[in-house]
Amino acid sequence: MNTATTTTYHNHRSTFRQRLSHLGKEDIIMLIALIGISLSMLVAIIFPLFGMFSKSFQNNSGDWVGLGNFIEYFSSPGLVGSISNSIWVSLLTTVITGLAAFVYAYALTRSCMPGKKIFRALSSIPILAPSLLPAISLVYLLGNQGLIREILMGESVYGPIGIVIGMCFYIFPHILMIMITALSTSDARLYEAAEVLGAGPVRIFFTVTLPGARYGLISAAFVAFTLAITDFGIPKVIGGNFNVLATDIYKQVVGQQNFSIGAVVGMILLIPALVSFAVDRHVRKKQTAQMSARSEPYRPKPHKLRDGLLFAFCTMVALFLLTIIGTAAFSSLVKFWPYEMSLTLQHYDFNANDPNGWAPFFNSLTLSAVTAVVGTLMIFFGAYFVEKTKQFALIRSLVQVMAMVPMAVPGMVLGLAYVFFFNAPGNPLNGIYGTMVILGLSTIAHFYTVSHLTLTTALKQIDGEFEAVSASLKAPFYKTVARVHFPICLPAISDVAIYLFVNSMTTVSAVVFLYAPDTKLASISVLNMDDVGDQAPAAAMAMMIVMTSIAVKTLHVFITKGINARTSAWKNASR
Amino acid sequence: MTGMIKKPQGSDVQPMAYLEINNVTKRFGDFVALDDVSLTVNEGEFVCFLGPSGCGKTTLLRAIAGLDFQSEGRLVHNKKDISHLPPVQRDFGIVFQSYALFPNLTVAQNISYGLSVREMGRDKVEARVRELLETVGLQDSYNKYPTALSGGQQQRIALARALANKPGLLLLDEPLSALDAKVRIKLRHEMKELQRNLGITTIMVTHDQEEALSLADRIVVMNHGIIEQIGSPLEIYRNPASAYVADFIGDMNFLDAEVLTDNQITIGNYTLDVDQQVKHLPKGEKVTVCIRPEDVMVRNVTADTANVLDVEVLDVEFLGSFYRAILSCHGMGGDMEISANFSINLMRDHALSLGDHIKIALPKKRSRVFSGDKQAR
Repeated sequence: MNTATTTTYHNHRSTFRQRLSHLGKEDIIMLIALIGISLSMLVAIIFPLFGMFSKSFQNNSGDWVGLGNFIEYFSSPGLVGSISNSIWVSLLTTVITGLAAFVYAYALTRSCMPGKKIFRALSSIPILAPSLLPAISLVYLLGNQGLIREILMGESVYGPIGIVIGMCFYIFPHILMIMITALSTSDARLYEAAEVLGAGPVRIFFTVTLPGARYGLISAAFVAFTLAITDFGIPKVIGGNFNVLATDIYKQVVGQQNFSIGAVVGMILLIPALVSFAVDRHVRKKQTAQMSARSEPYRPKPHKLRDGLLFAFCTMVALFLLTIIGTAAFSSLVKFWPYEMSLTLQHYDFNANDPNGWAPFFNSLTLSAVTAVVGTLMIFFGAYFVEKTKQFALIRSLVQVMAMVPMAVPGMVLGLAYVFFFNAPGNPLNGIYGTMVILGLSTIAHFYTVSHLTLTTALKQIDGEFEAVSASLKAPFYKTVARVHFPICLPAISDVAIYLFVNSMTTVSAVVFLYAPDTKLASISVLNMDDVGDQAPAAAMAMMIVMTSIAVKTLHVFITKGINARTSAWKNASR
Repeated sequence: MTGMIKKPQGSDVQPMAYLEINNVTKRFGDFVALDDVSLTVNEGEFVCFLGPSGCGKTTLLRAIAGLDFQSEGRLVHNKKDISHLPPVQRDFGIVFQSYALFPNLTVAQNISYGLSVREMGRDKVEARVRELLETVGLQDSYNKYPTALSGGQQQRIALARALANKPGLLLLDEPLSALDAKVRIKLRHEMKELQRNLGITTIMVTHDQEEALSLADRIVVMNHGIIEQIGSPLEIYRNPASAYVADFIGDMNFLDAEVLTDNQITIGNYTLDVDQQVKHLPKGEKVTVCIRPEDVMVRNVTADTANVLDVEVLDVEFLGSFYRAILSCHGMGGDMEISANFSINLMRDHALSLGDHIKIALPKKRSRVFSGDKQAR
């Protein structure tokens, strides 16, 4: 028995050694790159989360207290009240946004109303702005000195009303995208079959349309709820004394330096995000199975009444979005709302308005540019190794799993986790705390999943035999990546770069815990100026972010056109 | 079956073992994709791995290329042990079913992908590309992108690219499967000619028996990770080594029978002579008799002919150059059916129609007997 074991052990070891010694130069490059990527992901995602996890079981001096923090949290009525506040506000937001986005998406995909392209473009406005912006606009419109505060009939906008309206603005485009996808994947044949069988439009809607889109709708609802419950900017600006979980974290950590309770709230905030993540994964699998290659896409036929009603509805929604963004733009240009409504550019003179001056804006630009370039490259190579290589299956699956984690981690929780991990005494990476590096790292980590999935999808469409072919032609893999994969994926790569850029410009949640005075970002500057009552400069800075995003998006349109012009030579060459 | 060395057709010299595959096994978890496979490929030979999907033929090809390493076993290419070498260090060109042409590179860039301008110089690279384009007959496509070419043309470019480095071994992974029937046959012909002219040792994986029969010097029939038979197309077709091979290659009748004597079997009421293939089997042993439809004798069958059967014409299907008849033989017990080829002349001369009773014979030279009944196959 003993001998047998020894022999097996030796055999095993020798094959392992054999394999190691047979690793080619390329394999070694690949292995080093993979190890580099997985280590970065461990440091940027897993270790911090673990840090927060263990912090929630320790007191502020670092002693193990078991569930003590949780008990303390759940026995303080004020804090527990935040949970129910968060839940009902988020539920209400989910219902309102869900219904509006469904009808809007229905109009875009299933009707013949005019102006679909414009409506689609308008719907993405909120993505370009930090979530603080709708809150600021709402203060101008419905606050104590609001232009149209009468429509609230004496109710105060500071609290749930403001939060819900602001959230609806901020969440709308995200939900709309899911709804559009859900409603576009439908088989026209089903509709024809239903019509032939004599079903009326109402019956078709309930028996074909809704069931076909149900997975998307479920997924959208969970995403909406998660976005609402984890957003920090809106309740911070317009929440007044109405406490929610996201503001609790901020108050406990930044205000009272109570890290343990902060970690507990972080853990609680992870729950809806994790549930939503799990539901989304599950639903995604079902959704793909629905549409087969033989399905015929649905083409709507004109219907005057339906198209008219939908047009009216979409106009209302678009007007709401325009009003919010327009108010921010207008208020940033007005001398002294609402008393002196003449126009001025003085609020944009940040050097005069704020001790930090223009620095935060340029910090944001730097961060966004670096994140867009470095992040995109890193994510591209991560996706490439996961999707296209065969060796080192263990490390690859590790990278793949870690790439999915950020989707389930709200920005605030990630930021807090970074505090625990990087600020811990004895962490060799302590040096990056308070620098731009940590801001970049957290931002890339925060937006990793969507970028990774986009690039993985693009890479999946590339013939899986390219690696084999180039190996047979004695070309190293990196040559093929540079000459073939990268150029083919360029549209997806530029999409990801823009996505990272715009999100780095607008994000508040993670970085709010991580900035230092000299690395303050534009979005945080908005928050701070609003905090000290400089509302007009805050609106001006928010508008600077919006305008930068628009500029970058416009640039993106031209870049895409350029790429298309260059690639059309090989894409759709006629025979 | 292992280590079988056969001369290519019509060759007098003892061929060199160019590629040796020794006891190669490949496991994916519990699944054994290749089970102790051994064979030798000679220099300049065209070998086809033939079998249904999942038989292990592609796995074997990928092991030869180094794209998926074997779990056990040794590969020797041109006297060099390549068992653990990564693909870059092996000497082969490969063509895939999907062509795998780089879409963003021109035809010339694709073909010259593996040619080093630094080592060869720009002029030589260009000359080589032009030469290859001429070889595959696509001189005009130099600056075109792959999408501007038809499927057959793309496959020719893929072939040119695989040949660019003058590899010692050409691997073809179902190269013709994505093409439509006419192009497939044309390209098949061209490929064979090209291979013969260049004399390059070639291994092709295919599930299409017709392709294998027409292209290969030797066919390796595979099933469930093992080699069922290795042999020339004619050998495989005429003398299938197992009922599996008999079934997989061409059309075949399978008739349940029992051993009677050393050279006789019974099917129902009939006793048939066979060609001493049942010597080793005891009397009463269940066997399967195989005969191809084209080998069923339907003309000049007299009372003196051996192995005569009385059959009824159940169905006749027109297949262009001949008719395929389904015949039922009541005397054989059960509802045993036999397919036979009827020539156009026969149909015309005898004015056969459904329900007619005729006599056919099963020539013993053309019948093969395998032990076991056909359910056990």
